[in-house]
Amino acid sequence: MVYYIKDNDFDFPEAPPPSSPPFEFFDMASSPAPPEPAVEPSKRIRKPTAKRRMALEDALPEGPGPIDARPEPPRAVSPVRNILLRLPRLVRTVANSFGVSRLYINTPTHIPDADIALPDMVADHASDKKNSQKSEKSVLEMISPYPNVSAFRFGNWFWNGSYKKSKEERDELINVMLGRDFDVEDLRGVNFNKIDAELANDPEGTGESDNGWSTSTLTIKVPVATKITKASRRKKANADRAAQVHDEVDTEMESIGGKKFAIPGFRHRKLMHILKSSIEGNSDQAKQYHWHPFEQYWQPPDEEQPPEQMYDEIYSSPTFVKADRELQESPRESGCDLPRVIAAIMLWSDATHVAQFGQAKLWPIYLYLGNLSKYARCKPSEHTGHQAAYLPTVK
Amino acid sequence: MSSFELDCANLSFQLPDHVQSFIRKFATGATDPLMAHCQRELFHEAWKVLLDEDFIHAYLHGVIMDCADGIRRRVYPRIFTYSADYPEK
Repeated sequence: MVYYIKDNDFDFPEAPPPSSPPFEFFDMASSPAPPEPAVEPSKRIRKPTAKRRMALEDALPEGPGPIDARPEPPRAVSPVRNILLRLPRLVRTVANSFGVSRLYINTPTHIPDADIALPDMVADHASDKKNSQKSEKSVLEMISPYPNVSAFRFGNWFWNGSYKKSKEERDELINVMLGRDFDVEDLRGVNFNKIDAELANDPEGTGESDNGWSTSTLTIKVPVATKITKASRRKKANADRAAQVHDEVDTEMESIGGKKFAIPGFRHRKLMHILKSSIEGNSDQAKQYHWHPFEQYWQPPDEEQPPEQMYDEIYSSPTFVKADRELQESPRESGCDLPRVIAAIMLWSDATHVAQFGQAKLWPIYLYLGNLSKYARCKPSEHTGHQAAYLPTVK
Repeated sequence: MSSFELDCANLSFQLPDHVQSFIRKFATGATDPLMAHCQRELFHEAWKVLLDEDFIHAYLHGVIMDCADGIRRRVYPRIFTYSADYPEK
């Protein structure tokens, strides 16, 4: 970490004297070296003050302190609040070396960043960590639905590369067949048509059914320029009666003032499937979810000063604290003593052009979990976004 | 398992039929306010589908999940933010 001090109330020894202009351009090749700027003898070079020197010393990031064993004095609550039988038991963490402490409303079941190691807080560590945790799946899981490596290599050759017979493709096929993990006998009895069909039905390619995705048709009402008059109402009533008699429903005549228009191809994923798979998964990321909101305070070095509240994450925001309090105060599900927590859904959507030319456009809706620290959530390399849906457009 | 990357692979997405030609059958034409209205209707229809029964049930009663830190919890989904410009154009 590097600290840049923008203030200019102390001078570094190499700083130019104030008489020289701020910018000068020299053509080094043609012009002789510029004369040394004369240092004004009267200029006193000041040493940085003790405060400045302290600021230049690097302070490493760290997580919160442990939970303070001393009981937290209960907060002054309004008289109405006193009626509640369950008063929140405030728990404070010991301030870390930055003077930052957290105030949990109840004893948290787990503080994910309490025992976090320093390397996990350093920015460029993420990429190595990512690579090391990657291949948890077995080879067979990865190439599913292909039954063996030979079949996968053959299928991969068939579907990728050029779709024409060419010399390059021939060489490619020879490479595949001469590969050390290729055995022609493995291809015997493999139904490639069936595998192709399975692959076509599994757009995510995860090998586990549809991954919560499905397709729906959306129906909207398009307002049309027919005035709702007595005559039109009567006409509709007659039509309805006629339809009932003939046991048929004319969808176009179903309503006055709006014609139904069906838009097929709305691809969407079950929200609960996304939540379940991201929370119950055993990844490092899922272990870092903050389930309990807290208020965060910074105590200025001057002990006389009151502590300042810090807002940095969703789970240290007043909104999360309030939502959690409302949840804890609500009646429990009968027979359930499990800790109740909030999954903070953050949605995001924007149009995405999928081609360089033309109008092809997708309108994806992404889902992020606010329980994960923003430092991880906002990193593209962490893959924390989940596709929830692709909106069609009517244009 | 938890990270489904933001790849748009193999999406069988199709743009709907032109709504304009549909509108022209009944109305004078597809004016901008009318199209904006249709897009808004579509947006809400889409969310009606997304906020399905399972989600509403979880919202009200929570869902028991075995979290990755080894603790079983009852999780209640709550929507905190929605950053979007709805497809009105």
